[in-house]
Amino acid sequence: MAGLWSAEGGALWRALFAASAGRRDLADDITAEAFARLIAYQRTVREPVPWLFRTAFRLLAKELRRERTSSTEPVDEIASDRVAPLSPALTQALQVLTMEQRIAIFLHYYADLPIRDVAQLSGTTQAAVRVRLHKARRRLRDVLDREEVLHVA
Amino acid sequence: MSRELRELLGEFDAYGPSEGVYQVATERARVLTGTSDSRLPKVGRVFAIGAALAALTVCIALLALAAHSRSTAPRNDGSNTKLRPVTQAQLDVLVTSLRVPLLKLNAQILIANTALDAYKANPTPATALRWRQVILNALGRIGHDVRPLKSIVVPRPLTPAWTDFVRSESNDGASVVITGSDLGNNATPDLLPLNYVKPIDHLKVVLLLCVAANHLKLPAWVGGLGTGTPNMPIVDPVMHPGLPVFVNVLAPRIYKLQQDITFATTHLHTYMTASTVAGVGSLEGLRMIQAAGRIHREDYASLMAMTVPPHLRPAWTSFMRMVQATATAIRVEGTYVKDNNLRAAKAGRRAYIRKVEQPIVRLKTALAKYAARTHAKLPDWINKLGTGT
Repeated sequence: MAGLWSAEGGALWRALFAASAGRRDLADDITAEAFARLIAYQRTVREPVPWLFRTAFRLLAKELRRERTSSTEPVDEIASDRVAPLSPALTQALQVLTMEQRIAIFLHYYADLPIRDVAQLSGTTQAAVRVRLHKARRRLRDVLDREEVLHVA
Repeated sequence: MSRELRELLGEFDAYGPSEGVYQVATERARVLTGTSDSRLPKVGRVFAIGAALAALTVCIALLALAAHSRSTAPRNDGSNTKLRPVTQAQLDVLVTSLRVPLLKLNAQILIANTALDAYKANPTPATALRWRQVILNALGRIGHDVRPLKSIVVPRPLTPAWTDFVRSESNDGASVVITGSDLGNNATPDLLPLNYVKPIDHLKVVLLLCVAANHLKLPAWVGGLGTGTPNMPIVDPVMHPGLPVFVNVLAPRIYKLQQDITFATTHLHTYMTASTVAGVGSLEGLRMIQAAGRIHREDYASLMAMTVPPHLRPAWTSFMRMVQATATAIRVEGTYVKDNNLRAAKAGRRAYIRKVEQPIVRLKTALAKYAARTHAKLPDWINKLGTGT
């Protein structure tokens, strides 16, 4: 299991870090929880890597949903306290996307995975991944164009 | 667009998981494997509760029947009584309570026997005098160490062997009182007829036979008991100059470690008693995590910087590993408390207590063994360590 951690631990953590729009605390906690579950149930898992990623994304979605519905903390406070200092362009780009779109963009463009693998790791169909990538690119184009205009000005 | 996106996302290269995430995962996995069967589906739960109730009823009926038949059965004189086999739980309880006193005793036995070897090999008069003193000291300590063993209650099938063992060890201790008094009167006691101390071998054989007969498991340390163990290095009976210095340097650092562990445990208890009060979890959990951070950064670093006497190094290395494991255990438990996850905190509490108690107990045993071997006297504060004082 230590081998899997050294091979996939960093990648999983970065995927969660991107999917949570730069939440270091969530990335740490959920990476640990997903690995813990894999260690605990490894006998019943046939393909550990996709299982690990899918479990982690599901846990992250659940945690973000729980925070939205039950947290009394103001959003700004969370951001200043636990979010890593990413560049403004990247922060803005991540914030205009949904969690699923962030995952698709990260796995496809950062991890250089083909659509088939992205679908397998995020537990969805290839068609759904294509749609997510298309919508994400359309939103990002607006943001990146605006950013470029600001730079030029 | 793709190129721009790749450049933008390249920033993630600079980030990675925090230290200790994998350790947290392994700790959490242990908790999960311990409680994995507790999440039954709703219908399953109803069946499980029903089955448990039925089993309980059957047990009560069987117990009542047994009590009835016992009260009406003819009285047994005990000579041919077939004893119930020892269970793994009974053996575990016994072995846990025996571990520290028996290992201490075994160390003294090894010292006494090695010193007897050296004494019987006709050394020079000067070294003979020193070895004689070592033998007397070790046998005296055997007599002293066997006292707490007398109060240990053992399962019935092991009682005869246990009684023999305690009596033999006490006799060794008692024989020393006589020779010791000779020495006090400036007489020269003759140690040559003194036999090797070996009742612990017999006890080990009895334990191993009991385990084999009942298909049980014994911890590995039991196999290392006895006089047949490969010789432990015995230092020449001259006071080792390094130990007092080491102990003096150790004192403030070990107190700080103990203080941090006690701090974390106190906050865990506070949470357990007031978990329903709003905000208690996050406050107490934060304090526990801070304590774990202090142990990991400050205490570990200050202990790591110490110069350790050579014979103490293996024990010291495992002690340092246990300090790290303690910090991780406190952090994991602190995270549960911070998240107000009472169920997980309760499930992990036993492992937590075992982890945080381990390093200081281990260090105390190692220091006691080392002091016995080097004939140094340890200060009293070491005995008070780990007892909450």
